[in-house]
Amino acid sequence: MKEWLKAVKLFFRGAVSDSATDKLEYKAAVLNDTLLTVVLSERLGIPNPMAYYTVELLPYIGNDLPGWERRMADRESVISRVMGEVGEP
Amino acid sequence: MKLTEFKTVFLSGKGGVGKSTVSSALGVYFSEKGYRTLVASLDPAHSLSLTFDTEIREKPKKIAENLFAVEINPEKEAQRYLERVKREARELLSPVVIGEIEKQIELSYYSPGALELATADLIYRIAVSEREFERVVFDTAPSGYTVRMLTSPELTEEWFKRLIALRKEALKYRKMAGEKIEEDPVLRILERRLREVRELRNLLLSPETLIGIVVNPQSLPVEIGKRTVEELSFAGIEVKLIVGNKISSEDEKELIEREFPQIPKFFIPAMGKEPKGVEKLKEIAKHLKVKPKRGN
Repeated sequence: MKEWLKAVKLFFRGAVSDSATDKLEYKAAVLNDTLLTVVLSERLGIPNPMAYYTVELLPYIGNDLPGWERRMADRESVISRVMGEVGEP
Repeated sequence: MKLTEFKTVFLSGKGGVGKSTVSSALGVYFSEKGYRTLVASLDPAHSLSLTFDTEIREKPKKIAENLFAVEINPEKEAQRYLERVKREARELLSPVVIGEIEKQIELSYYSPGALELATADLIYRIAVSEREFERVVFDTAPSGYTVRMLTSPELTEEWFKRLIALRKEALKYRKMAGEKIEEDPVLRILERRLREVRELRNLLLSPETLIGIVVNPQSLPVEIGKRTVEELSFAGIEVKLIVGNKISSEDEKELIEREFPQIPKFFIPAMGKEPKGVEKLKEIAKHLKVKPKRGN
């Protein structure tokens, strides 16, 4: 019985905190995307007069470039991400 | 107005009016007063080597007692900076992205404003962070370029603040998600840039900084000078000195007096040949000893 209760507790903790962690990580990722968008705005056709300064950030945020490009190019995924956040039906 | 009260001097003006000559003469003037002085040229078309009649490079070279000169090309500065960023990228990034990131870094050399910002970086280093001289005189590039360069810090400050807020929020979420974050290099870079931009703006607005315009008694240099005065005042920067260079008559003096009322002026008479070397510059410096008058 005690073992079982422990398992149930663990299950709920996992279920709740994991999804909370996911949400936090997701929010951080969205903000990181925004930062990449600022740094790489010229690729989207938006001139960035500070490009010379912001390029200095690329060594530290550039690893996410393929993901950012995919999300920028694939508008559908923006919707599916939103769906992911509110929970799919 | 007392010239020696100013610790940093920027001279603007149309190409060919004699910015380098006047800057060099100002340098001579300060050094004769006993101040350890640097004359710096950040114009890709360097001419201090001509005015001082000796080869000047990227390291300050001693010209006379208390007088040093340096010529740094902003294009080279930009290349060096981007090389460093590329090196960092190669160290830190995965091979999957490095090719594209390197291309992006190279492209930013051609982005609008890159050379202005490289020039601003050089000014910051010479006049603020690595300052070794009591007086620094900059012979800056032509007017429009100078104006954009000088006014951009104010616009950039807000922009950096927002990026810092954005990054802090992202880090907050990552910490809440259990990630250990010691020191964030992105935040460090953004905060350093913000600090530099602020200090640069403070330098430009400081009462100890003199921003002057060199003009000749012809309509184009005068018109461009007037536009610079306007553009700078729009950016909150007061032009405190007009140098009328190559003046050969009272009429020409009056023309400049009329066009720039309210701003103190120096007049330097036309010399037959282009002045070369410290001895000739000393002659010009004599004209800087006259107390400049404010117009009517």
